[in-house]
Amino acid sequence: MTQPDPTVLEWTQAARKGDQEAFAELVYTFQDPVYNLCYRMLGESGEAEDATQEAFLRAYTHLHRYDVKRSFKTWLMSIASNHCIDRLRKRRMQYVSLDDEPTAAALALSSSDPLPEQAALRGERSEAIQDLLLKLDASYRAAVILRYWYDYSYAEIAQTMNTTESAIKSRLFRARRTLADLMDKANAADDEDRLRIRS
Amino acid sequence: MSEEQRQDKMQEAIDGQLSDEMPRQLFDMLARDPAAAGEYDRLQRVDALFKRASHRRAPARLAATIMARLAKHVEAETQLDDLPPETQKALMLSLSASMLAMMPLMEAAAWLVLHAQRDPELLGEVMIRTVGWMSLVTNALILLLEDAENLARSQPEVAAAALALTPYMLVSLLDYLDEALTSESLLFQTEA
Repeated sequence: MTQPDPTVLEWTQAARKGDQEAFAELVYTFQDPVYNLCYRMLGESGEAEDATQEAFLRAYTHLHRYDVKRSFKTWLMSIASNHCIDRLRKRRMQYVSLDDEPTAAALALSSSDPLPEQAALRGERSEAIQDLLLKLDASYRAAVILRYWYDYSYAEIAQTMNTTESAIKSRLFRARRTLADLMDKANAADDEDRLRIRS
Repeated sequence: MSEEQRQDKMQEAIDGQLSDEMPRQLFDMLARDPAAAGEYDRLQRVDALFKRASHRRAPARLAATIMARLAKHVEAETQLDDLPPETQKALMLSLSASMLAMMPLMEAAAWLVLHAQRDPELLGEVMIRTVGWMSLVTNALILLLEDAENLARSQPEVAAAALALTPYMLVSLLDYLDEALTSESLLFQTEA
């Protein structure tokens, strides 16, 4: 488990007393990991920026609830991932309730998109990975992001997502299996395209 | 080894979390079971792809934007604390009246959920729609209250105006509810 960094601890304690400069140090230190998490969760840079801002504001407002024995980064990532899951849920509700206008994210999942594996073969690995991620359920997506982008252990992911290690193991396994299915499907479609071109 | 144990071991091997003697047991099992070996290979391909994923860096202006928003937020909080007590009371009264205005909507939602219990598919549909309305109405309430707060902050003497808005909001909510119920009863008729 990650141990609290003394400098970070000093900043959080000062920020709790209302020191905005100390909080700015926390923002500069953790903006990249929080933004990356939001971008990977939401799949759109503008929304990721907004979610990052919101996550930091929430962290500031709830600093009194932060347990200094825990890692500040894990606590912050927990706020950011919960906020992104809420946004995705709200996005789904709005999509369902409005019925007629599909959201950008829903369009991004449409079947006419380039297949992930094809994109990877064309050297667009990053986009391929993002396309695959967006096809996962929000809580599975968060577990995969925390595992691969932050190298979190099962225990750290569980702490961030406020659940048990066994739930995280199961989510990761199902997420990987789904991703493998999607990659196989993409490969099969790619092979079909090649055969069609040859014939 | 049960299916669940096998899955756990495969995953722990991929994540480098297996104890010393376990990899051997796993690889013996994979050698005996081609289906499991195929599954392990698929999981490894996913792992290899995601391990090469790059990090997105935050835009250069992001930290400054966060700090500007924070300063605004802190200022707003301070200003709200500074409001005259009678204005704060008027706002609280307005908030309570707005919550009261939500009651018919809550009752209608409860009624719909109760009457959709027999059919799981319809229940699912009703739940999604109900939560969708709630979300829309709550967002509208938040916006209205934020506007009222801003108004009270800039011109404390017009805080009563915020209160006066509540009946209009109640009427709008009831209109919305009426419209929603009409379309929902059409849905019931169609389902029936």
